[in-house]
Amino acid sequence: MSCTKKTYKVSEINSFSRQILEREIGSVWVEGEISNFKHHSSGHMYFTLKDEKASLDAVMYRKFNYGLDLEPERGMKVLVRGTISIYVRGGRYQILVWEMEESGKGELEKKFLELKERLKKEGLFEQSHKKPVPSVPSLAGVVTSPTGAAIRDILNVIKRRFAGIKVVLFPCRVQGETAGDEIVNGIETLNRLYPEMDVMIVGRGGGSIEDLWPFNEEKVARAIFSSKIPVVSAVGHEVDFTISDFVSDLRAPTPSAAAEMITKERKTLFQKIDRLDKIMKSSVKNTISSLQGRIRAVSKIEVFKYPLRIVDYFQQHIDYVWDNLATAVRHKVEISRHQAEGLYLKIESLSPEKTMQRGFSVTTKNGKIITDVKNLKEDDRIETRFYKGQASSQIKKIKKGEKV
Amino acid sequence: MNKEKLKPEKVSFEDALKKLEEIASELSEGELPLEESIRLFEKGMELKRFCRKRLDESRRKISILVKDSEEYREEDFKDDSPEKP
Repeated sequence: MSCTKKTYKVSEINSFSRQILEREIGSVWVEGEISNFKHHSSGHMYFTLKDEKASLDAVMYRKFNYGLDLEPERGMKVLVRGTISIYVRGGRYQILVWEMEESGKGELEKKFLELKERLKKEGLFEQSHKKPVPSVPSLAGVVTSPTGAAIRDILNVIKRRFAGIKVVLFPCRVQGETAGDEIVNGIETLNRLYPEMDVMIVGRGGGSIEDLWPFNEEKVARAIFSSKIPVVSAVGHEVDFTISDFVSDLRAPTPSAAAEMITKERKTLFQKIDRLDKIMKSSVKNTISSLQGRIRAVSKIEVFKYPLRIVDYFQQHIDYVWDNLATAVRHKVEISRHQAEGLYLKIESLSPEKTMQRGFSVTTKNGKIITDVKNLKEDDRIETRFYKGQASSQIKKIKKGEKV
Repeated sequence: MNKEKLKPEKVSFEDALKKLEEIASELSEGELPLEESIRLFEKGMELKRFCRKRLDESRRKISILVKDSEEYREEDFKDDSPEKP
């Protein structure tokens, strides 16, 4: 039995399949996690997209990845747009990627901005809450992963710059579900165990927005805010900003920079101390020599040559002052006496007794002095006091009238 | 100003340096009576020795907190652990 078999060459079938795929599926959006990432020296990017069940080879040519605003790396969850195709030479099924973004980025960014706005309104970022960060601490804490890049960078800087320091690392996860709680626990534990701690660095090395996410969580922000120990945040790279950065006492662009901020160079410090030493020594020298100058100047004055002259002078001055003083006191006493007599006469003429002597009397009703007939009515009993003696009477008639 | 001796474990380097700066600036104004100047100067020299000593010290301790049942304890941290990607 013979039958004509339709036979393709390998290249033909690969091309044919490719055409079918490109025509039937065309451009698609695919979401997955990057693995096996390689940025080839040609500029093209080769990687695999995968989920829990499957994987898909991907290539992003240089002309498409040029100017990409993220750095793809293993483990990053991305959303890509491309064409399903076949690499004819190798017969490999793949996706040609033209666009790539971090998946869930839009959602996370929205959450970030909302939390930032809310905490800002609450005043958590206010400058007035920020504690000063010492530049030469004796005890520093670090809350980060014990195996990450951050702790290595921090320790390298500290070893290079300043030796007299104790560093306590609180090991914790810095990405994933539990990281937020672990970081909070780290900040709180250091505060509890080391109230005397000068400063702590809280952070991690670079990563995707999802990796850095724990540092955008509200509980982490609140733990940093409540820390009695000053907190330097050091999350990711220079361009990464997290909520932790806003709420911390000091934001460091990277973990290495954080370590540099809390440790001055030994050499600079030695120089500073020497400079202060010189200032003190020369100042004291100046003070002493200026005093010596004054002593010399003073010793040339006449008084020190003829000390008794000054005693004569003082005696003469005292005599003069004494004479003047005696005259002045006598004069003053005379004036005062005159004034006192004048006042006495005046007071006497104003006394009610003197007035009554001149014929005036005082009328009272129930012990109250009456100055207005308004306060009297017919048949009232009144008392009248004269200069000598008094009389009781009863009102017969009231005549309303003006003042006397 | 108190006259108590500087205890290295009580005074931070930062505070000592700050005090030293204050003393140097006070002395350089030259307004103080001689006795006060001398007293400050002596204090300054003491602070200087303290600061230099702290800088000379090579003690450096890096520890990691390890959870031991309910409480934490310090252990020496060996930072040559393998790099995690």
